[in-house]
Amino acid sequence: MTTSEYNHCVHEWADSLYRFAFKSTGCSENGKDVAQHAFSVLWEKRLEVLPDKAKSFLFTVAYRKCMDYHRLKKRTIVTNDIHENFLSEQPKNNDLKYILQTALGKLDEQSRNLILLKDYEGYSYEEIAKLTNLNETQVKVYLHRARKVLKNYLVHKDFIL
Amino acid sequence: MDINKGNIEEYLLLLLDGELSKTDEEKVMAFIESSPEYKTLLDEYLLTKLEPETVVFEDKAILLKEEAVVLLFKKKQHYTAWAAAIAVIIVAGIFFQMMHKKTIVTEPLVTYHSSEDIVTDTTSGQSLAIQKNDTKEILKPVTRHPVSKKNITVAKNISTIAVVSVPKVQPLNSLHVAGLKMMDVKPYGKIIAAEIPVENIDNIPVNNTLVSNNDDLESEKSTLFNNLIAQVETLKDKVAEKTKSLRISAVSIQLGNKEFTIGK
Repeated sequence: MTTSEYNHCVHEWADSLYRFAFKSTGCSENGKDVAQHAFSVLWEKRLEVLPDKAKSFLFTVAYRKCMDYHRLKKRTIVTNDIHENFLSEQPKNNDLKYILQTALGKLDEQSRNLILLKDYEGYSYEEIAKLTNLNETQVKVYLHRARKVLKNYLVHKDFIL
Repeated sequence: MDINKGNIEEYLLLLLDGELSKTDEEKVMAFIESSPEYKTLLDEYLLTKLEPETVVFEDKAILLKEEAVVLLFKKKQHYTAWAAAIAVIIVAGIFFQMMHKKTIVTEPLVTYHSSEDIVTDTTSGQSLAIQKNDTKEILKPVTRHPVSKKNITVAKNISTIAVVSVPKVQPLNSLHVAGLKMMDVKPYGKIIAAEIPVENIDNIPVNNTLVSNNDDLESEKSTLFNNLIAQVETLKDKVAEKTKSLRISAVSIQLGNKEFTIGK
């Protein structure tokens, strides 16, 4: 991958990578750190990574970094929901988008990441399995379980539309 | 694929995730039409689908890497190549011009150390170019005795290494024949780009005394002539040898205050 191709990847994928990291960690600063880390690794490995594989490479690195972040958080913070920061940065209104983002924060990290990869990035089960080092059945089970949690949260009596 | 009430929820989720084939999608939709309660379930699941959302990474610029500017480098190479080509042409032109003129400069013929001992052991009639050892100044050729009827001058001038010449002999009796003969033997008055050590020309026979006996004179003439011819032949060979060796040696060229050396 040339420098020009690397810069093209930045223009093409930096926003979506940051969105994934931001939504996964619930913090814009952590999201920036994850995105910068992923592009830093891509730059170091640019001679090995083909341009058409760059997006998958970036999201694989970002996914692992997010999971590391969550593991570290669990060891150092024992109180409060980790998505308090995330929610405080969202608009405080009762529209469906905000409710869904709140529901997303209730999911475990693995399920939330799978939902983000599926809905935002449009990856198939097979592609998500490769990114996350899970098998397709695990991806399907985790995703379906997450959908049911989200549905139940949304149809709760407080959020009946 | 068999869709029933036991697996319809799974198929609804697969439909939501876009993991069904076109045929299976049609089967699921057909099942929903036959059982409207599952249409509500599908709608509820559709609510869990995240809508596209634009999030901008504002620090994108710090991720970018500077790309090399190739045009400036190529332009510089262009001029460098032209400068090198011009320099080579100039040096080559000067080199071939100097070679053509045989203006190869090496060591002087004689180097003296003081004004008192200038050429004290040379043969009569010889002229020798002298160069000062300290200043490298080349003096005019020095002749120990006035030019006799036959002599060989080995000299050096500014632009050549040595001049091997036989001055025209004075038309005295038949000795001038020696001069004519010598003209047939090259080199005669010819500039040769070579260096001849002084000791190689010391034994040129010289006779300033006229012999009254004609037989003796003829014998003397013959001896002198043969000796002279032999000496000139020797010198010629040495000159040729020197010339050959010099032509494959290094050449120094001086242009203004710059000196260039072209190696073998």
